[in-house]
Amino acid sequence: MSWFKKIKIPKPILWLIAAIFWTAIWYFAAFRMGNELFLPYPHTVFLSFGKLVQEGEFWHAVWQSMLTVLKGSLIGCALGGIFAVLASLSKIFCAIVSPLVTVLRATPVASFIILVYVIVRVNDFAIDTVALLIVIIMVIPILYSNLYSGIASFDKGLDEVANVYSFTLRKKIVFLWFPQIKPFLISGVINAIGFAWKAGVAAEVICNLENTIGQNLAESKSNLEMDRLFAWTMTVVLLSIFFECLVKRAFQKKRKEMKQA
Amino acid sequence: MKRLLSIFMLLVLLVSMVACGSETEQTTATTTTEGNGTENYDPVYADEVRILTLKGPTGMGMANVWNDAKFDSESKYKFTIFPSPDLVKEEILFGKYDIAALPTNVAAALYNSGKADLQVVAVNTLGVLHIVENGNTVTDINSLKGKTIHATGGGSTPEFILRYVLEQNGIDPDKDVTLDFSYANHDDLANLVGGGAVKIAMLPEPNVTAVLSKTKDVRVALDLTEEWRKVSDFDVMQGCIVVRKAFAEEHPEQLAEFLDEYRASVEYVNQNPNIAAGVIAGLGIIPKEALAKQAIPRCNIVYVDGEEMQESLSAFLNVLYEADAKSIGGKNPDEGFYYKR
Repeated sequence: MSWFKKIKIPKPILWLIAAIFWTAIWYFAAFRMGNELFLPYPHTVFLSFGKLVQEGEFWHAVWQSMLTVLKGSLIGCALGGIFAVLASLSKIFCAIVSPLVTVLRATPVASFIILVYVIVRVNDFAIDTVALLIVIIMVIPILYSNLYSGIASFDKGLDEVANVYSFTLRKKIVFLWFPQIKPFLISGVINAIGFAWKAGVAAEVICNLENTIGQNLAESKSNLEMDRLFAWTMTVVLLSIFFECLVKRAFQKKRKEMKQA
Repeated sequence: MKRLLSIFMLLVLLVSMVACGSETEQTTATTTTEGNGTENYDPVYADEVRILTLKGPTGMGMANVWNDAKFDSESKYKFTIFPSPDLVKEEILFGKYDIAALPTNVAAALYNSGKADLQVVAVNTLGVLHIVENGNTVTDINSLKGKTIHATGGGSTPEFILRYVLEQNGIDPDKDVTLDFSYANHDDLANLVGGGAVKIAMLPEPNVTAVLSKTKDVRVALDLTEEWRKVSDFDVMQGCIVVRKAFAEEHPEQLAEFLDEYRASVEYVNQNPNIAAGVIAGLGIIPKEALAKQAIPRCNIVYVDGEEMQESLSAFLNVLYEADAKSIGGKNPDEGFYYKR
């Protein structure tokens, strides 16, 4: 059977096969459920998505939610990164931060949303801050654990070599530490973006934040517009994938630039 | 030369500081006089009335007052809409409101907790619960015997209302019927009814209308508010308007004015559901105009205050109390709960 493995199938065709496979499963499941109120057919959802894209409200909601998720991810990643570096440098800081991160990671999003909602209202912040804070809270532990274990796995021998060749700090960062931390950073950021979308939209649903994807999801659900509910869900999935690709691209570009340097 | 320059700079700095200082003093002085001025001029009216309302039927009666306020830049009403009573409860506990719409049991529980200084001023929604059926077997309350009723709101007001109506009709809720309260929320149950997976269900508005708009197979079999009325001398009272006690004491005229507008708004909504539906949808109380139009007559929106309210509401709360004292905060609320105009 070794010849079978050797056949090179071009990537687009592989993607097509995957797409056909899963659409077929979806059709079959929808057929078995027997009612589009339970599970709409793929074509109903795609048609509904097509209609959605033409609505002004759609882009408004997408923009609003996207801003929240991006801002939250950025702040959360930065904080998680800073915590990870400080924790690797100081045992005391690590001892203080570790339990916080463990608690953050294990607490259900729903509990946080209620807590954050109360905090936001007590302090008279704008209600939209709820989603932003939730995203930040969800992103911090992901980046923290990824980068912390990344830094812990650094090759100490390389550090010594760098010292022998008396690398400057800049050189150490660019040629020594960054390449070692990069895989952890990429997987951290990609995970974080997925979680950021999930948590952000959940906060929007629970707090019913005006003109957001979450509010539209909740509304379609209570109107029993399953096709719209799925179309909105699809929007979140697509946006999440889009940003994931963007991050991957950004890091790949960096590698090429570095090679040239 | 250098020294001269530095002395000069120091002087400039000092002068500017003094200037700034006196300027701020002046502004504070003017604002205080202005403040006094308005107090003398208009002692009774608050500059802003914070009104919290709810999505769904409880907010519908308010539609006209809200809409008028929206297009009147002079209006003192500031409306905020909330998706669930939980969030309104938080606001009330923080005292960040003047007038709010709430389920009656939540209002009573808050009052009894002693942590919220509120009074109920009017009942605005009788009942929104209906028995819907995917089929044609339920014609009256007695035909429910031997059937399974699927419902949300187990352990809270909806279950107590259903049990009361059944009991008053001589139907034992634990023996003669099967009650399935295993559904987490109205949307999910509505979905199952619409799809035909559940035959008989108790649903609130506007979920009832949402189901009806999706399928012709489902019909409204019974209006529980109507059924309750047949067997009791007081009404179901699910929704009410509460006021912050301090606000009611400081601005009684303003409150009375609001209540009059509110009463007119309720009448208007009930009499002109077609026009009101557009307003209701525009304000986001019910997401779709078509849904609102059909839901209005089934929402039992009312305006009841004063003696009449106290009589009926205290009797209704007593039913909840006997079903589960915790649901209204452990005891029947005392006289102080009911606001008298």
